Amino acid sequence: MATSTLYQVERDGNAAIVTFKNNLTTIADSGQLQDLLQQLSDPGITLVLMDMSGVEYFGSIMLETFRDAWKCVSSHDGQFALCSVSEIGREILNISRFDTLWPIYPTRAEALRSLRAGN
Amino acid sequence: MTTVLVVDDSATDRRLAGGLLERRLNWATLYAANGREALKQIELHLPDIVVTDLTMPDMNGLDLVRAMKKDFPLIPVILMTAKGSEEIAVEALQVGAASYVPKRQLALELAQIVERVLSVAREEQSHARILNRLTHSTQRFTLENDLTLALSLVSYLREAVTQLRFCDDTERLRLCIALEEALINAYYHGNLEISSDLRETDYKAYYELARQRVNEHPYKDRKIHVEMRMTREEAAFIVRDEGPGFDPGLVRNPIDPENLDRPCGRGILLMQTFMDEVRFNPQGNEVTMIKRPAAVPSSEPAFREVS
Repeated sequence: MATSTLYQVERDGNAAIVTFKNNLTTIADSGQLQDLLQQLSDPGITLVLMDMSGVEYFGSIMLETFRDAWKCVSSHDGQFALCSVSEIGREILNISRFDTLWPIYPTRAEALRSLRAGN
Repeated sequence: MTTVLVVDDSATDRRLAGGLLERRLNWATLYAANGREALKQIELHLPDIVVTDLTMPDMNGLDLVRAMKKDFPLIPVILMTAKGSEEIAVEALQVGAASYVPKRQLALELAQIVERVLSVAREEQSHARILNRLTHSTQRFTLENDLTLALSLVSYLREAVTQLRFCDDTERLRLCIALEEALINAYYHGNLEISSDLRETDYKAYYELARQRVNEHPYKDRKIHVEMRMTREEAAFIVRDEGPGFDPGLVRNPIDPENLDRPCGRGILLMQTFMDEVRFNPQGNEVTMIKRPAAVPSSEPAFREVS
């Protein structure tokens, strides 16, 4: 599927896995956020998984991006989850209470297995 | 006298590398047959440099580099690579090895590379010794309202704080996140005067407006002013924009369950969580953030001395 300089979207059946490449603070300003959300608005996508293995840390702009993607997939009854989040990333999700909204899995494989099993 | 530790499970290769350095550079040489033995030797003798094979039983070269990065970060490591060890060599370089020499080129290149790496390491150690004696540092920056430039400043300040050994890696990362949030606030909400309310109703319009205002008066002429003041007791970061300011008291609480799906106040929340003190000026266009290093025993200086 489509790629950008900041992220890559892979399709795996009904799932879209978004892998980020670097510090994401400029994602919104660059217009790439809109492109990403446009891709995720496909009604055929009922599972969005944010794979954060390439990201050391993130801040409020990324949190808002998660929130936007979650709303986007929720609008067609899809699921949203994160995986491979760094220690500081988990801390940020906890501080913002976003860890109460979305499941966070240690690995991509575990996330896909668990979400597809309906857990 | 300069001391080099040569680590290799092959006695022949070990002697070859050690012999080259002894003969060409007249250095004292220590030997170890694997990473675990090497760590014991390092602890006992603190060599100036380590030259290591990668594939070894009982702690390979990659694990040795990792362990040294953690416990002996100022001793440089040079890898001796053989056919088939390229991948592990790349990983070792990523985690902190200083350079590498193919085993088949040892006779030609080892002494030269070791000398060059050691020279750079000594310069870094010399700088570190001076930085340990720094008692006060103030730096001021005036940035155009440019997000990429602001992020470059965060990266620069992270390096500055690292050099000063002000706090550990995790605290430095937290400090950088707080600083980044302050700069994002200055950029969007301060200088471009764009409200989070628009972000809530229409994210596209929010970012469109940002892109538009970056090129319009008066927004495009505004600057972001950053000051870092660092002493042994605390680091203060002051970020000021040239916008009209805001009332922080009016920002909605982002962790109120009612606000979880709204874009509000998360940047300030991160700043307040990761810094020891955050205060705004009365106009609301300047934020001062203070970070203090974690308490250390009185016998240990806040800026740890390095050899």
